[in-house]
Amino acid sequence: MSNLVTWFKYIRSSFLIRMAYRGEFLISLVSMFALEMVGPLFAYTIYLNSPGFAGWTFYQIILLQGILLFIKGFSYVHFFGIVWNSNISIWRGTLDFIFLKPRNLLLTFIFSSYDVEDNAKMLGGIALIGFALYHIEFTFTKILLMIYLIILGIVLFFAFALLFSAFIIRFIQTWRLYEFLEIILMIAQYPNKIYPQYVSVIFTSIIPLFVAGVFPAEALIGSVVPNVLLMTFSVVFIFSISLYTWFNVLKHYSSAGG
Amino acid sequence: MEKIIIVERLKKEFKSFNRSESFVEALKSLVKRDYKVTKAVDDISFSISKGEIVGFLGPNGAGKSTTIKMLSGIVYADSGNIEVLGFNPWKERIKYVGNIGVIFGQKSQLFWDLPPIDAFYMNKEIYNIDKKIFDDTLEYFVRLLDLFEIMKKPTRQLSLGERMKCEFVMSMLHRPKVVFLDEPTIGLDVFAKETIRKFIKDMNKKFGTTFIVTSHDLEDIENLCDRVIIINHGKIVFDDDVSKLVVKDKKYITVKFYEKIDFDKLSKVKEIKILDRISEHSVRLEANVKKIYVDELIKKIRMGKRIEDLEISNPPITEIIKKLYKD
Amino acid sequence: MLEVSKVYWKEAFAYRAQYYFTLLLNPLRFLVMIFVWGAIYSQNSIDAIQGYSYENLITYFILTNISFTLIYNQVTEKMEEYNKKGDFMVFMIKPWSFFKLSLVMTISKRIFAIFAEILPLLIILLLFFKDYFIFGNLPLYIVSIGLAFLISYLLAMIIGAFAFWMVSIRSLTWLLNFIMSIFAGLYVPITFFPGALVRVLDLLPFKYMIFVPINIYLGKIPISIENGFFGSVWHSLSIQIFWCLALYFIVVVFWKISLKKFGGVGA
Repeated sequence: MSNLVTWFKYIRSSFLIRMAYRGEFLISLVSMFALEMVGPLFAYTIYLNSPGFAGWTFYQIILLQGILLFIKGFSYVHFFGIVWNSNISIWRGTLDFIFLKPRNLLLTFIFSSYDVEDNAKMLGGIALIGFALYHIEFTFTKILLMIYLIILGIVLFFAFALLFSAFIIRFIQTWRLYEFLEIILMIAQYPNKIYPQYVSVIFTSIIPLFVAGVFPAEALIGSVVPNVLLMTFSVVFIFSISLYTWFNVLKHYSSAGG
Repeated sequence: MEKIIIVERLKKEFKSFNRSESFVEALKSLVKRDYKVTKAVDDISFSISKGEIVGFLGPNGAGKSTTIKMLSGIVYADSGNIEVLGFNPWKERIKYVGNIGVIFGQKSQLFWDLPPIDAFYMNKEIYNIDKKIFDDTLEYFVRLLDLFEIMKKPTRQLSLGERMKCEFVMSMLHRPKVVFLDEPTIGLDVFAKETIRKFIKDMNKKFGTTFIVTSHDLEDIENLCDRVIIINHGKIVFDDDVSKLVVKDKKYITVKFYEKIDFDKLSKVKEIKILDRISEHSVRLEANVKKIYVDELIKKIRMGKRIEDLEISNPPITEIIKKLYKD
Repeated sequence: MLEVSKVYWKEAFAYRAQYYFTLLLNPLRFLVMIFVWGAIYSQNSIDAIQGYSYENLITYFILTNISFTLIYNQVTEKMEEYNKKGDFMVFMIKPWSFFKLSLVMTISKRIFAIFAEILPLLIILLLFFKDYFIFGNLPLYIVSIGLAFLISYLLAMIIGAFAFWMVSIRSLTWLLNFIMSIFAGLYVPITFFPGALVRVLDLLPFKYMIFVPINIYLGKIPISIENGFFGSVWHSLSIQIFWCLALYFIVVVFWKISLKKFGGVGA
């Protein structure tokens, strides 16, 4: 309960900070939205010049990309900031401060990493999903399945955030991990069928990246029934490993001497 | 007095990577990096009682900051033991850090774009401070440090001195029993330093707060601390009252005569060494007063001439410490 | 000059992780595009889109990768860094103007990138995509990509100067990235866009950063002026030069105003 109050305080401050420069905040929201529209624009170009991906209509691709963008946006807003924060804290040498708060290390870190700007991504995702759903027929159960898979996707992103943060704290300060993620997400922007078999298998079961886009979309469209049990298992597995790694790295940070 | 900090045989080693000097070495570093091991803290033990203000002195890289980090639970020791307020800082971190405050003079805990007051309220939540206690404490600090206007301005607009005051409030709102200060006056002007020192003393008197202060500024140590621990190369080289940092049998004498000085004659006085010929009339001397009374020595220097001005002083604390660092 | 360059080369080496990532990321980005277009062409049995066969497109992407690395600069990031640290005084103190200093820095880093990034990339691509290497008009490409580098640098200088006016120019950097990736032709030849958009892009400098140099290399723009100057390579190069001059003019004026504003407020 007390953690929740603390979290709201942090969110409030994050908004206050950005509101100090309203104009710039607006520009930044618009720019971020524009940058995220590269994927859909690209998809539009493809469908303009060809019949597109086999088994997928333009609106279905937009649904896929909308789901991915929503998951990414939600994650960036609520917890992915720890990757950013790891970089900043290592650079400024302020990582020490999270050890000084009488709270759980990870919660303290997540709270102070709330990111207001990326709400533009989340809203962009919602807009794309809405736009696509307007042109697609669906049933209530299918929506539920889709939402479940979206939640799994968010958990997967949480695992990514932990792993990236751990990598930065343990090894080296780098911003390139964001670029790396962007490219990985480029893969997730398109149907899994277009990739060679091994790529598809890797991103289905080992790093179940497709759970953050293709599978929820397919669940709604109803073309293929995704293997929900396998998805759940591999996401929970990768999440547990990430959590363990993160706390281990912080322990190492302490014993290596900051 | 009750011992609240007990440190036993603390050791800590660091691996540090060698930064490449030449272009070729930089190329090599793409493949392999050399590192060397430094003993940051090498077997130190001490204890501190409730209500003490203890200074930590030492040259750069002597291990002061590492010790502070270990005491505050950020860094683990390789071996040895720390007990503060009955806690082991590494095993019971969450319970422990609620009872201490830490300030790093070079790093800020405030929010750069927000006024300090917002950060204060944030700490109220994080530390679960009771509303009544929080309000009273804040009011007390605001009055003491004259923060009423300052704490409502965005942090980035504050001067370093103003910001430092707020950093102190930030880390003392939960009324910690022990406070660690790492270079708290670094970069501050004389007035700000004075305010900070006074604040520390007030807290110490009023609440019995124990302070551990590292500083390069000897004035801090002389003004604040009863006791000083000097660390060099990771080892304690001095641990005693500040007043003991005096060399008894050495004096500095500056003397000015009405007549010209006969330097040849003066240089033959065996208890003294001429440090500086300020002018034909005045000179600065270092004197060994182990076997001679000061008045007798003056007589020998005077050689019957009239003195216009005379100043006798103890060697400054810096010199004593420099000597300790060298050993 | 060489000494200054050396410092930047050393700096580049210092960020080893950055370097390894670059080596990894560029081929990855390339691969994703290959997969996507491969699926489009094969699933729909298409021979060519807007005159580009699948093979042409792969060649195009090889060239965009190289071209993008050649015209890349970090001016806006540098300006953001100065802004964050409140370090603008460097512009007043240094004997070299920031324009010159940062140009030397950027060029040194690009020369470094030719060996450290493009060479490894070429080796990887030659191993797997040997057949898609086309021997094109290299001399004219070098001239054109040089001009493209300047256009890109000048655009970044304009965006960078906003650092004097804003708390953070991160968002403008994103906007520039957006424009670069779409309208310069990084992801797809711009002729794939709807006709109206293509006509608008003709009037803007963006396509002259990647799309035009590549088409000059591929010989899609005629060298001879038999069919008139307009539409020939020389026409494209003239427009590039025009944009360099126009943008340079904007940079000079905007920086003068910005520095004056900064001088009035700070220091």
